[in-house]
Amino acid sequence: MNAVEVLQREHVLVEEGARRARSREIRRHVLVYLGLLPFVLITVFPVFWMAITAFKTDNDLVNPTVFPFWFHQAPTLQHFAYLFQHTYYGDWVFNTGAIAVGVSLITLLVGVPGGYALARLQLPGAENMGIAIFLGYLIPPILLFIPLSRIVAITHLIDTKWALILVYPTFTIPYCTWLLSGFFKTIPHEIEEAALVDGCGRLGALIRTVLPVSLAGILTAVIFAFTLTMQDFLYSLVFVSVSDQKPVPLGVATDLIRGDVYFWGSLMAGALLVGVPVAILYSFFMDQFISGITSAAVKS
Amino acid sequence: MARKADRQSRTRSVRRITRRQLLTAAGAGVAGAALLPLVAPWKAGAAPAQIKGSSLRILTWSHFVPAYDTAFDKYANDWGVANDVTVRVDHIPIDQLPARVASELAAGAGHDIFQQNGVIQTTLYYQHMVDVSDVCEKLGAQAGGWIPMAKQVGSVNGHWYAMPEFFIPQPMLWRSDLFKEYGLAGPDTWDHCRTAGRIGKSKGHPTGIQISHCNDSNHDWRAIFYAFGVKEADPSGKEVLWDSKELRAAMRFGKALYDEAMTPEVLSWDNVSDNRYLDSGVAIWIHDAISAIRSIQDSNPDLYAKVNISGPWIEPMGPVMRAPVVDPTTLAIWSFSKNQAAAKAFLEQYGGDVKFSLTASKGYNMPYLQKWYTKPMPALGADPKVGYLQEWGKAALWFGYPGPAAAPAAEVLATFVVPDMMARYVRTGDLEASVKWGVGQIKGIYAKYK
Amino acid sequence: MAHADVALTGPPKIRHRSFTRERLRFGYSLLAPAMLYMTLLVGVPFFFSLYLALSDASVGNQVAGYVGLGNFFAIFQDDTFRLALRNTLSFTVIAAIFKIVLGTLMAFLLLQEVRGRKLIRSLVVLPWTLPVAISALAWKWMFDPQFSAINYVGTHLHLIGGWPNWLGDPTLARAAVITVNVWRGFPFAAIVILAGFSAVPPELLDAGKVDGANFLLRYRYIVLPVITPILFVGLLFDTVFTLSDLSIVYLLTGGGPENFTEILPTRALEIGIQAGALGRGAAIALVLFPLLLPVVYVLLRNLRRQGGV
Repeated sequence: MNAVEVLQREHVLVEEGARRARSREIRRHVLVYLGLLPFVLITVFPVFWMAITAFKTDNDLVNPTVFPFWFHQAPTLQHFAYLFQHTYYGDWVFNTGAIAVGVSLITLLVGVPGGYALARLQLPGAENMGIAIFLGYLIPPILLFIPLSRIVAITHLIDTKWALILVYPTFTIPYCTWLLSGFFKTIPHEIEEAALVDGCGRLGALIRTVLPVSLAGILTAVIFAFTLTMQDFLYSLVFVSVSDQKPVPLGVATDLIRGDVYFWGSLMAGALLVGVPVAILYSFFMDQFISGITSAAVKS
Repeated sequence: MARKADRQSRTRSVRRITRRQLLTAAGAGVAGAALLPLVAPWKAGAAPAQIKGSSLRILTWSHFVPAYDTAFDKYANDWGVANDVTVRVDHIPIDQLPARVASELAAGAGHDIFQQNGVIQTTLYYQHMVDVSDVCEKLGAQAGGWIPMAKQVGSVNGHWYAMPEFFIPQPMLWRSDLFKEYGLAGPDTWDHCRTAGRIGKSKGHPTGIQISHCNDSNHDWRAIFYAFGVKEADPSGKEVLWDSKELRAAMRFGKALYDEAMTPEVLSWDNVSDNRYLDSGVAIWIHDAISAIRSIQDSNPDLYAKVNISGPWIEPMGPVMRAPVVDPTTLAIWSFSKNQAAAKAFLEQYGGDVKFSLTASKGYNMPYLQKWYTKPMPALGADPKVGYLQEWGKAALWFGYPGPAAAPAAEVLATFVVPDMMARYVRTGDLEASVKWGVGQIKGIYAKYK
Repeated sequence: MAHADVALTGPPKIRHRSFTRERLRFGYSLLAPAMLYMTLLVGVPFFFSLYLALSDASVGNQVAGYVGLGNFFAIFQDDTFRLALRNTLSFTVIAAIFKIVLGTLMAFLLLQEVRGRKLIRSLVVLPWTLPVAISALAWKWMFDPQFSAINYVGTHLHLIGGWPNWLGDPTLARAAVITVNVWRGFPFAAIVILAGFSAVPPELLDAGKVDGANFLLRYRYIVLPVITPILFVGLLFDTVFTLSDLSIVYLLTGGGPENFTEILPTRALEIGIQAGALGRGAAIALVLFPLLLPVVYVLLRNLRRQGGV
């Protein structure tokens, strides 16, 4: 065989190798997709069903003879219209947003200094204080809501969204303080020491050097605070009975049931309108979220 | 099974929100517009001057006749406008009311006026409720006195702490066409009801009574139990009389009724499941408030025409008696309310306005004031279909009977012991164990109040 | 600024002490808001709950007498409470098993480098990102006695016989509650496990491969030690949620049918508020506390060993 033939043979072999690799790749892709398919179906189906329900007319919804997962009468926006015209839905969305922002602010204002102090200042008893704060997270709302209702009543905040802004940090602060302290531990001390040597006070050092590099951790804390506020139901149920002060989950669960009749169309519409944007938001911050959990747990 | 009728009427129910919208003609809704001439013209300044510029908050249930919520909100708002009081009304589902009322008391803050509906806990909370004897006595004097049941739910130790608002009868709603077709005697005795249910079920028209944690279940089963002679407590309310052979007989009847005439879905029914059963054309009879047929009055006039409400016998006869058990509601003022004067003024105005209440609810809200029972009653007298309801005033029975409708009996209601007892029995078939459990729970509850 | 000057020019010992004092002052004042808030809004109410649990307070009469452990004896004699306690434990354990298994499976799949991985990851996290109350309502509709989508699919695929009444049958209702909890929890488990896997330094794994360790050995000695603390964090977070959440049961079944899906939080709400017995309600809620402590203890001990908290 001459050189050209050798090269040609090599070329053919390489191509064949590449082809086999490609088909292996494709096979692998197919297997993985097949494996993920049931998971995707399970997780997405209820949301899909929620969406279909939100857009179906009432008659279409209660017709048991047709295929339920698609439209037989034209999709309608009447349920969404109902939400905004005949319920306080607009207020609920605003309340949910306001509560999330307010709680996140309070959590950061309290949790960032707290986490920093626990992580980096070698305070005697720091570890125990940290545990004490974290234990607060473990005291379930069902235990606290009665005494808290007294406290909230004293502040005259009952039946307003401010009651929730006041009370939700009871579970966001412990969790986020612990998270942030773990995060702060990973920051090298040299950064601060450099600032201190330069003549900044401790507070200045904190603000100017530590905070800027902690944005990822702070963001994670905000995400967690947000998650936790959206999960609560008991406090909102007990502290807020005035319709226009309710957050979305409570409003949807109480005001869209009239005389024991569930208005499923509007219920699902209301759930969808808030659920989906929140989900999309999370998907953007998923990486932050993952690194937040990782660094909180593996603080070495 | 078309539930269309039910949903159509629901989508038409208008939800009231802001005061501004209330005052626009578009927001008033048909009911409101039709009621304008009936609403008493507000005598401006009739309420004490000191309440001007204040605010009043009312907590009440989400009415099973949706038009009433709209009408009531407008009524309250109009009263507020005329008296310079900002009024807001919040509605919540009936089964959530007791918990909400209790949380407001636990917090020491909340609404000014609150409704109790079904579960009446006046004797439990009266120390935290404003004494409204002046209002109630005045109303009684103006209207020929209160029916006996009123004092049961509103008064403690001779003082009125809650103003009885209305009561809800739960008569037989029965398909006269099916009864005729199957040659059945009318449902004037519980035995006839059972026969009708049995034959109906064999022909695809079963019946259903909830055996679950809902208000209807509590009251419907008491109607059967009392008819069999079951007594909850003695008239003083101290001695528990549940454990009796009458109870066992009643429960045996209940289980037979369940086995022969119902389907197991009644174990997970809520307050409107039986409404839906009737409205879809399935049920041969149900034992329920008239909201069940009000919702199909316009959307399914054929079916509406076929349903009869009660009869000259008022309530089916059991071995011992007829037991028209009703669902009472009251309005009361918290002692921590910052605006007791306005609250009292509103109660006085609304409490006397029975014509409004009866008409706006299309005959659902039965009054406690005697004068209103002179026939023909508003909304009921003119309509032969609901005519028999006019007899319920003198016969109405309350939970806890023959004992008082006091705190222990209310707790038995609130913890749904009776539906649970029946559920145990129909599921396990063990009568003695179920009775023992139920009576044990009830005795434990009464013991706490000694 | 002045601080630093003084500190740097003074004699070493004084400098150290004032440095320390100043550091401590700074530190405690930073910590103060957190301690203050938690004391006022968690500590004080917690001790008030203890007081309630040891008294016979009721909603109508909130200043009441001391009854010692009477409430606890009373609640343990109530068989609905015992049912609620059994349910709380069994729901948590069964749901955890499902969540770990499903989560691990999905994490392995999500680890694979395939196109569209990010999109799929965003999709499968949907259940966890929806607020709990909203998921519960969506599933209530899915389990509706007349219009259940699950029944429709199941009967048409011949997986289900008849038309089960999910929320009306005691066993099915329990399954329904666990299903909702697992549905919204396993994506979180998967994400946590995924985080764990990605925290394993690839050099270690490669070194293991070079050393000839097979998959299982690599998993046991390299991967596990790294992901264990992360798993514990996730497990703690989720267990606390499952134990103390009442929205799923409250909205889905209300504790029914006939109390068969009652859990401690819903029972505490019923007895404490609906029946007005504040003392006994607080006692029921307190029983949750010892259930949570062991989990915390194991976690903290584990983290301490790793040099955490």
